[in-house]
Amino acid sequence: MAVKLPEKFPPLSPDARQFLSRLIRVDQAGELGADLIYAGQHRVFKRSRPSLAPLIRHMWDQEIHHHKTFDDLQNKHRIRPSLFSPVWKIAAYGLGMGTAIMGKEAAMACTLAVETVIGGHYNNQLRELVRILEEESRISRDGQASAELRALAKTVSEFRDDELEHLDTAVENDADKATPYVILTETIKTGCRAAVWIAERF
Amino acid sequence: MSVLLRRPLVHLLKTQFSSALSRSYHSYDHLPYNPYTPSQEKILSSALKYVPEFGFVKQSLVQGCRDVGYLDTTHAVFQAGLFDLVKFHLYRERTKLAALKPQIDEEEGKSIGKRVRRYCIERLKGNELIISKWTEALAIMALPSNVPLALEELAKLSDEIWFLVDDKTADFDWYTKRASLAAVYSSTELYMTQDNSPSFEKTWEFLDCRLADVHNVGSKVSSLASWATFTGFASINLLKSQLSRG
Repeated sequence: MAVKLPEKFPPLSPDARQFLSRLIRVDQAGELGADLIYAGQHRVFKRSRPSLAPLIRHMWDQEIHHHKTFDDLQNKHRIRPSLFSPVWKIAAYGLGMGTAIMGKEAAMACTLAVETVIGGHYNNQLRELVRILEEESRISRDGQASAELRALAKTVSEFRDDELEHLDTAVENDADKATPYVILTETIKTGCRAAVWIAERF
Repeated sequence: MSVLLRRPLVHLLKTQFSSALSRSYHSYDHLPYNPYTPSQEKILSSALKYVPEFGFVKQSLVQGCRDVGYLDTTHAVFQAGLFDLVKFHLYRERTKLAALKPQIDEEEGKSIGKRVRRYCIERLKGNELIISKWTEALAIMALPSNVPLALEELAKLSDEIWFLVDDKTADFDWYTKRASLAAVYSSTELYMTQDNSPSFEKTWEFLDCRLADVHNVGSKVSSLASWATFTGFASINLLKSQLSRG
């Protein structure tokens, strides 16, 4: 008699569950922030530089899609959203509007700083996800990890590619001509890293 | 001395507070994590059968062990003692709710309010058999060392109900919704222990009043928020028009 194997994978380890819930929480908060940064920039550029608005609109639309995807994942997997989501909303919209008022170069420097941190952050998550996927494929019947985690890894890698594309757009649009470039980008990068640390946990 | 005093507190905050905050990832492709071993589950469920008679006391646990063929002293494996029995009741009644989803979806229709009410009633009915002993359980849960885990269970119940009614909140409202439902549920649960009306009619009335209160406050908060947004934008526009006039 053939032994019937269980259809589901064994329970995830507490570490894996913590990793996955932090991943979804921080990415949801991050995409919420990105959505609102571009919303803030678009609001300003729509009037001050209409020629730039479509480019921002394109990036904004991608972020809206990312944001919605992570909202759905957060609900589907029953993850607590970040406790500070009202703070992220105000900070992100303010950052978007503020840099856009400073000018095109400052807005692009802001994009560059944010997307650098987020791109690296997505890469770190992917590395850990791939490790979990490999572990799962070893115990799986068909040599494949669970569809759920494979889909999650695919989403994260797609979004990383989108963010890196935004980074290229920022470089092509004179992000490095912003003054004071280093102070601006380093401040935003530090702020982003702090926000990532907080949003993962709270 | 101070180190000795501080350590348990730090430990308590680290384990219990963080476990309450880091709600777990809910998977569809993996088996759910079961906090109980099969033998623990057997002992605790047979012990619960004695609760209507003896209450949340050691005797129920001892009888439970005896019934499934363990020595009387086996109850010592439950480190939290009677609180483990209470927790198991909470866990079992909470996890039962999910099976009612198809039925409730069909009978209560689309209204979120109606479905939330129905889940509350179904969960409260889980206390029906032991209602005369429930104050004992409440006293056990109110012991300082048990409070964090008891609150965590309450939070999980509230989260379970919002999940079962397909709530899709992705911002801070997630917290307000869960907190207000938890407050409604726990006050109704307390009311139910004092209710002598036939088939707990008064309790369901009380529940309806509490749910209506939350609904009123909720709509007042959201109208306050839209008022604030409107006023904010109006003042910015006013400022702009004044500035452009020079």
